[in-house]
Amino acid sequence: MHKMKQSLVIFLLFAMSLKGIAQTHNYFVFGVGFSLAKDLDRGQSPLIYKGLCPVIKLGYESYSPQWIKMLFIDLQYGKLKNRFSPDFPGEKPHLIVGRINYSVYKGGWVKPKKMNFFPGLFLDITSNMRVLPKLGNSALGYEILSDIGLTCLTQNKMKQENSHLSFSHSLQIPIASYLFRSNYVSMMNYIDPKATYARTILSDGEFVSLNRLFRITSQVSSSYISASNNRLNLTWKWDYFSCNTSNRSESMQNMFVFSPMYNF
Amino acid sequence: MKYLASLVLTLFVTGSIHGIFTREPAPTPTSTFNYMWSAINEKYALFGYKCLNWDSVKTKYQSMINDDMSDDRLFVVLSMMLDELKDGHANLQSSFNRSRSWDWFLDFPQNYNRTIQQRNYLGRDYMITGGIEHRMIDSVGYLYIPSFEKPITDKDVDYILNRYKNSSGLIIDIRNNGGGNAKNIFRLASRIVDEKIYVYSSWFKNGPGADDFGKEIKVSVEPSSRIHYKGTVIVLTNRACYSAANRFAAVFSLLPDVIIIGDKTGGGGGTPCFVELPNGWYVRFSAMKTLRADGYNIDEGINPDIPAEITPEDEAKGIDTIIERALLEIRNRRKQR
Repeated sequence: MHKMKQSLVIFLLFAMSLKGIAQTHNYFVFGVGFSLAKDLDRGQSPLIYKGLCPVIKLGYESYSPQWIKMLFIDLQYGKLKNRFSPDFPGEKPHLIVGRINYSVYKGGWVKPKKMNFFPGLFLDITSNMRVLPKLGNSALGYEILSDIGLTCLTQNKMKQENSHLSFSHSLQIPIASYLFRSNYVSMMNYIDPKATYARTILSDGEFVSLNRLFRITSQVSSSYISASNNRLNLTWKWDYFSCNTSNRSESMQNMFVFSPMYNF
Repeated sequence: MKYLASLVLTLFVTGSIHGIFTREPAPTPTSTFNYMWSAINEKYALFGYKCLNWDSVKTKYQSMINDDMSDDRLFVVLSMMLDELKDGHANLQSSFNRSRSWDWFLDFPQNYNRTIQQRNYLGRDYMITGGIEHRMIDSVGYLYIPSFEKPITDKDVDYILNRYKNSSGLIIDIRNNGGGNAKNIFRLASRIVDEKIYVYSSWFKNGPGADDFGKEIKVSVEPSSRIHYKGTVIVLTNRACYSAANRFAAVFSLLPDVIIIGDKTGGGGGTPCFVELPNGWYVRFSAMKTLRADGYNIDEGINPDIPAEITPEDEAKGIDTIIERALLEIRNRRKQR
């Protein structure tokens, strides 16, 4: 009798998982686009650096009735300039940004409607690096953020009878972060033979919260959904952060990405 | 409707935050002067050591600044203010000029003559390995390192030490070396020591207060597993040895069987940082202090063990008195052994 009960429970769990799999849509995302970047690091300069950076995006999205999961990697690299750059020809300043973001949204907690709100949590690691070659020893300015925070996804119904368009909007705000930031004089350690770049960068980290790090990421996407459930996505992602550490730094990016999403 | 409201809210928030992005200061002479003064006030590492009252420097030069002055005049005034630091690492760079403070060697005899060195010592057939010019002079290995800007690799040092392993001594001439990457020092020093030797400690400036320094960075020379040099090593210095070359002399002054001959080095113990100014110019100044293992502030310059100068008589005859003194020292030591 006991074994029968155990078998029944296992069977029910298996059936439920099958049902979950059956209703899950998984997507592989590959996108390209560009970003209008704006950076300020008071450790290096009071001037704002701006640039147009190409962007590559890789991602995975999974939609099930219970959960929506998204994993993205964004990479961007581009030249920067400020309003006095023409006076100083030579090696151009540049920006290197890498971002890994994983967000999980809880679905199925209210009756599905045409428009749904999904609360969630996210983890994010962003590396924002500027190289201003004319500043010699202080050429490298960086913020490496490891965030955890709250997110909310607003999405219309995945697919409707007479519509092949879908819109979504997500908002992410970190509540805590571990921050690696250029030191007070924005200078790498060149005087210790053991001090590598990585060791210098990772030697100076601190936990920060909303009082010292304010960040907001907003993403608006529109998708065309094909009959085979593949999608074409156009995304505008707006990201702003300010680190209120000893030398305030700010960064803002308007990223436009076109990305096919392959259902598998 | 909810979606639209959310989107409008986002656009509103986006637009608002776009507006609060910190504004750039105006590129006026006044704001440039104030920004430069403040940056140095908060980040310069050697005020304590130099006993300089930076507030009084501001008072002295502020009256010379007005928003109608030309860029040329502004550059002159800012350079004069920077010159008060008496620091070879302090420079102001504009698109049309670079200020410098070179009293640390211009006020002293040169004690180096490239023509004599090249024609009468290096000759025509010297080798250049990793930027090091070298040859054998009277069974002594002679190495001239004009700069530490380019990296010296382990392979370079292997080649050179293999070539001079049977020499009766090694002369490392760093005269007129204005510095570069300090890591080059350890490529060479690690081939001379048999045990780990603590050589200096450095501190980054880490806050606006005069005594705000970060944690101590203790630096030691550790023996390399590659080829070593076992004989006497002599380092030749003059007043134009600065920054990493000065640090080289500071490190080698603590190593066994190493003698420093020549003139005192120029100093430059504070590694420089750079700050851009509101008008696009940028300023460089020392943001780190270094004390040798015995507590000596290396910004002062390193005194030689055996002082030597090139005499005018020798120079007229094409003789480098300092190289000759080093060769004599090695001969004497060889006799003593």
